[in-house]
Amino acid sequence: MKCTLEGGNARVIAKAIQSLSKIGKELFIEADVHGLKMRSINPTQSAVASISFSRCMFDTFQLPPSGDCFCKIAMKPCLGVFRNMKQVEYCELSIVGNKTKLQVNLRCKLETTKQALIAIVDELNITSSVPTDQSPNSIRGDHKLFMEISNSFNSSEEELTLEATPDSLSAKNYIEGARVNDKFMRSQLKLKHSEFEHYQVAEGSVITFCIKEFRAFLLFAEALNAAMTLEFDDAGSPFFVKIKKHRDIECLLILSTLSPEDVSFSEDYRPRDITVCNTTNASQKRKSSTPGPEIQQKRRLAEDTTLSELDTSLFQFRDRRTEVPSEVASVQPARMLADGDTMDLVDEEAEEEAMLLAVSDAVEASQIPRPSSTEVCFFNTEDAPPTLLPEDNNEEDESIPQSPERERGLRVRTIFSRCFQNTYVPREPSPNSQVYAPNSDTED
Amino acid sequence: MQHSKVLYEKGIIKNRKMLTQSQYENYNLVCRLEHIKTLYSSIKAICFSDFGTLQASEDGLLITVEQGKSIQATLFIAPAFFAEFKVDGSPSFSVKMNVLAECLSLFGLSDCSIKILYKGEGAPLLLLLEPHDDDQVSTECSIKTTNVEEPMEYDLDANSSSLNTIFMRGPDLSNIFHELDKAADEFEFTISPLKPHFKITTLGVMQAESSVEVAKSSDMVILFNCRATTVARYKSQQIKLTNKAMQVASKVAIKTDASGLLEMHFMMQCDDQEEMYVRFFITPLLEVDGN
Amino acid sequence: MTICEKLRNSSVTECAAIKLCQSNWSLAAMKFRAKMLDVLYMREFQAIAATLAKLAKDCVMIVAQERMHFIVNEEHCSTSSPLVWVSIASKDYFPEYQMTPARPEQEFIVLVMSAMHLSRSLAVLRSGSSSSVHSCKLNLKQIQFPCISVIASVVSPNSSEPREVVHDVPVTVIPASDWASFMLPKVPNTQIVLGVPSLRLLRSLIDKLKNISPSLIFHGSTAGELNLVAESEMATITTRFSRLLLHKPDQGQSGAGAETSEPEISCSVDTRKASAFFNALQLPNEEIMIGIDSERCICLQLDIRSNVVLHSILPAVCV
Repeated sequence: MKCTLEGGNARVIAKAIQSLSKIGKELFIEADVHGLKMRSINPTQSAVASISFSRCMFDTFQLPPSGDCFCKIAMKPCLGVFRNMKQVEYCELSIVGNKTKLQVNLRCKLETTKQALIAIVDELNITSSVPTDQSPNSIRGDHKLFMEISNSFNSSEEELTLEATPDSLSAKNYIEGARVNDKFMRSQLKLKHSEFEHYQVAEGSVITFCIKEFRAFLLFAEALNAAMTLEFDDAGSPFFVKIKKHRDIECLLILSTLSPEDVSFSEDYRPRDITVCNTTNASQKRKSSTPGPEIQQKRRLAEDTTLSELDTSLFQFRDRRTEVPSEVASVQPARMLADGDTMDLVDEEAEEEAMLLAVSDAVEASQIPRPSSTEVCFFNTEDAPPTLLPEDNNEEDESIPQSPERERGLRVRTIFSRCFQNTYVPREPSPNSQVYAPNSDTED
Repeated sequence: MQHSKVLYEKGIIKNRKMLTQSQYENYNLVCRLEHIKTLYSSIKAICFSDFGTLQASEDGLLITVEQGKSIQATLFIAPAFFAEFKVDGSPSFSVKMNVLAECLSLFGLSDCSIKILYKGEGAPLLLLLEPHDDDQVSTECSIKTTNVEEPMEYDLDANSSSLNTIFMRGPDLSNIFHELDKAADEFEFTISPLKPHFKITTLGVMQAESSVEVAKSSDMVILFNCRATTVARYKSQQIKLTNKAMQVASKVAIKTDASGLLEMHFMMQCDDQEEMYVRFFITPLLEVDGN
Repeated sequence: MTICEKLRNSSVTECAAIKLCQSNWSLAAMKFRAKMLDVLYMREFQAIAATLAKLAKDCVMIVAQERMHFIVNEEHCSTSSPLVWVSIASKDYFPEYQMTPARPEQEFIVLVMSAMHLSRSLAVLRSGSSSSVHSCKLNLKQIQFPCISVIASVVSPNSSEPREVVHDVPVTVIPASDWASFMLPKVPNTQIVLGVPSLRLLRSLIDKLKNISPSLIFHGSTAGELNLVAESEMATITTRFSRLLLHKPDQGQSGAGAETSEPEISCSVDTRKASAFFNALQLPNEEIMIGIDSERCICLQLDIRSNVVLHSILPAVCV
């Protein structure tokens, strides 16, 4: 394969690689008669991103005599080559050395040329066979709008929940009605449907997905200055993010969403009534170090595809080394796998393991005590859902009765007691660590 | 040293050694600069070792820093660079470089004037700083000096038939150096009269190798003087020590010969002020194989 | 009466009012809601929260009828953050302000929360952001656990519709029996107070001095001079700020108080602590008041506006 393109387009490809690098550690490149595709899959296989560039972006585009070609390379060296593209005037990509290396030649300003040879790890490709055009809900908006939504949340946030109703969209870092850690700050942003270019949500739907990959994709939408389309069905089924630019660039991000099963929510955790059918257990999710909910989420993916009337898994892996393209090794994306070598797994094994995981999930879930009202120290004295009421009355206030008991010494730190003692001399040992006399102050 | 002495008499300052000593009548070295910026960025550019050696003479001020026996950096400041420059004899001493750099940056981005004073052996180096935008503030720094360690002598044979010299525009070369793969262990420099003229190859990166070439006809090349091809490898870490100098240099000279010793000159210039020079010597890695 | 004295008096009265309350819990509800409307005040409030977040993990919020106080103090030796507290005249920032303590005889609601959460919840009010904020409400609520809901109504430059941005900052409600541990500190009695107009220079200076010497001497004189001295084996650095405004002792009132002021006072403090204070400041003020209590402490006071004051105490270190 060999293709050439001028600087501006090369910069777009560089941006695409930079975005994909935030999703996975490997880059899959495929060239066929339509053009060049780049893909990346995240380590937990809950997200796969694909960016296609049509042939007309390239000045020349040569395919090998065998037709299409594909390869897998490590992301890191690739990122190094495409890091700074400002000076690039012309770019040439080719596969050399008997398909062992990807050669990148960059002709830059000031008669400078850069060359890089990146080792091809594998002749491998990933494809997904999920139908991507059957989602009942679709929302399109400018990248700036989605950027503002994304920026409203802390960068350390792991998941984002979208609550779509026919006339508004709420973005939250938690699931309404689910218990969260008492150190966790709930954040939400409420948008009216009129802020979007296109807003089609027939019935209410709530989806929760990983925000990291979404943000990575958003970066590329920003680089293209393009609109972004979100398409989704319901909790648990795949979530699609699409970007299109002049028919030359088409991007698709498939994200798995949190399953609506095993919901453990309580009215106690809700400040207000929300007419939403699906809520999901967040108390498990928040403890993201425990693999339980993650696995559950993945497991749902496999079932989703059954829902979508296609008895295949979400991501299919074609291994061309075997030279039997018809023999599709489909892998349960349901599982968390240590590395990317999922292609060698036999279906039955995967299924068995998924079953085991499901069992362990069930056990784990049953062991988690359901919060009951007796555990809650503070309670609402007013039953009325606050924000649904008019602004002008005091109903909006939440009344918090003083807690009857609290464990002393756990949260309370003595802060200033010393300052009020008459004998207190506000001296402290020198930071030189020269202590001349031991501290005689008493602290309670 | 007006207020430090007063504070010493009051017992606020304890270290008497840091006051100017009365056994000297006059200062051995007095120099004054209206703007500190170029001096500060040049000192920062060579601040890669604990101690630096200052040597003053009628030809100007030299500050030399070394690391091991393989890399040396020297800052040259000509007398014309200073608003005032008086030297008596040829005083020389060592100071801690990071302390010197911190003292020069006490007022952050605010521009200051600086006066540098030195009385003689055993006396501290004095820096008097006055910010331009606040005349109510002034600082006196006195920095401990120690005896000088003679810097190594490096030299490229000017008459060698293999001496290659390239002058380049600083910012353009800085871009190229900045983009060299940071994961690389070694860089190989090739200078040749034929293509590729000037080439840097990164070595020792997993799953990738890369190179960059600049043609001698490029606009960034000011002078290209090459008689025979030279190829030598350097530790990438040592090359990276030149980064800070490279970032502020307006022009850079690269010289080498068949021995592989790399000499680089950086012309440091800020805002149309007089320029000063930083020179690096970097020794090559020994050839491992017979290539 | 100097500003310092005024403040000291006011905080003394307030502190005196915080009494140890014995059990007998009533079920009376505590309520707190407040609303900001002015953009400048909202930005200032945000800058205060951002300053606190740079200093400590947790902050104490004391809500009273007329004032609102924030206190941060990392008491662990490993951190080098100083004690800082801010007192705000509630009505200045909040045209709508309503608080009902748990019991009628109590005067406060005392809450502890993450300073970072508070700062982040107000980040949308930040001066640099392009969106314009119509209003910002604070509301004490119970959603699974007690929270301060920060509700901002924001209009982004890309749309005409206002959006609602809500953050529920989890808080711990401190019962009156524990208030003694959360009292507002008193401003110590200092012998000299100087106004330093070059906060920017001071900040950068102290930041560099922390790499030179672990302790830093503040030496002030009634002649309106402040010397900062950092000494180490390698260097002695003396910086003089001259022609400063002398706030105390007041030259007009001679013989006020038993302690006839000495012309020169000094105190040495932990340089890292001092640097942590100055680096944390997110407010645009250029002047800071530095009070010196001889060999006991340095008091720093930033008058954000007449009724909004930030204080810090840097305790003396043994040299």
